[in-house]
Amino acid sequence: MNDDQNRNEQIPDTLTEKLREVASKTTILVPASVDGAVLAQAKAHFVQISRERSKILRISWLAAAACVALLAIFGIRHLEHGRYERADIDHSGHVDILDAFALARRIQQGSQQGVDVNGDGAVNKADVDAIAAQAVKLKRGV
Amino acid sequence: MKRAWLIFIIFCAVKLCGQELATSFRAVDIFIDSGNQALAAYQLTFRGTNGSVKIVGIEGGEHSAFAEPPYYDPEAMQKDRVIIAAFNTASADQLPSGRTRIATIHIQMQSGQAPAYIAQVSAAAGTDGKRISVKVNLVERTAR
Repeated sequence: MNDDQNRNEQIPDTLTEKLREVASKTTILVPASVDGAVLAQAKAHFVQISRERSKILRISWLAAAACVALLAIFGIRHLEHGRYERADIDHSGHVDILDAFALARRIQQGSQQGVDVNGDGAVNKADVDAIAAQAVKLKRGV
Repeated sequence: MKRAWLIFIIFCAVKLCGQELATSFRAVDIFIDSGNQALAAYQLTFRGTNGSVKIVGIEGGEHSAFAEPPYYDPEAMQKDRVIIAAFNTASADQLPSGRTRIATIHIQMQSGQAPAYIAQVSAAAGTDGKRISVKVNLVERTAR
C-alpha cells in the first residue's frame, strides 16, 4: 500500500526534465525594492562585523598597552630593587653610609671587588656617591 | 564710620601679614661623641618636632675630616627633616675622637616659637668600618 503511494508521489522523469529546461531558460525577476533591501541588510551586517572586529582590535591594543605599562613598572621596580640590593655592600639589609664607606675603603685599597652601583661600567667615586645619596634620600610621606 | 572700619581692617591685615613674615634664623651645631674611638663615618636624622622649623642650610664640621658638608637629600631644604651622613677613609690619627662638631644645620623658625628639634644617629663606624656606639647632642649657636 505504502509502495504504491510512494510511487504515485514521485515526479515522473520526463516532467523533471521539462521543468529543468524551463527553469534554465527563464530569468527570475527580483523587484528592485527587494534587491535594495537585501543589499542594505547585507551592508548593515558587514558593517556590524567590521565594527565588532575593530572593537576587538581596540581592546587587544589596550590590553597590549596595559601589559607593556605593567611590565615597565615592574621592570623599573625590579631594577631599582636590584640597585638597592647591590648598594647594600655590607649586607646589613638596608643601605646606609656604612655601605658607601665600605666601598670607598675597597676602592682605596685597590680591591676589584667593588660593585658598579650606577651601572656606568666602572667602580669609582661615583658609585660611592650614588650609595651615599641613596642612604640619605628622604622617603615620601615620612 | 565706614572709613574707620576700613582703616581697622587694613590695620589687622598688615598686622597678620607681619606676624606671618616674622621669622628668625638659627644655627644648630651637631656634636658626636665617639669616646676614645676614631670617628670615620656617621649617619643621623635631624628633625624639627614642633612644625615651625624649616631647614635652610647645612654646613660641615670643625674637624678637617668632616669639614666638607655632609651628604644630604636636597629635597630636605625648606622641610623639617633631613638625613645627613659623611665618612672619611683617612687613618685613625687623622680622624676626630671624643666630642666633635660634625655639622651645623641652619634653620628658619617662626618668631615666638620655642625651637624644638631632635637628632638620632642611625649609623657610626670606626676606621675598620665596624659599627661603634656614639652619642649625639645639639647645641644652638649663640650670636658671636
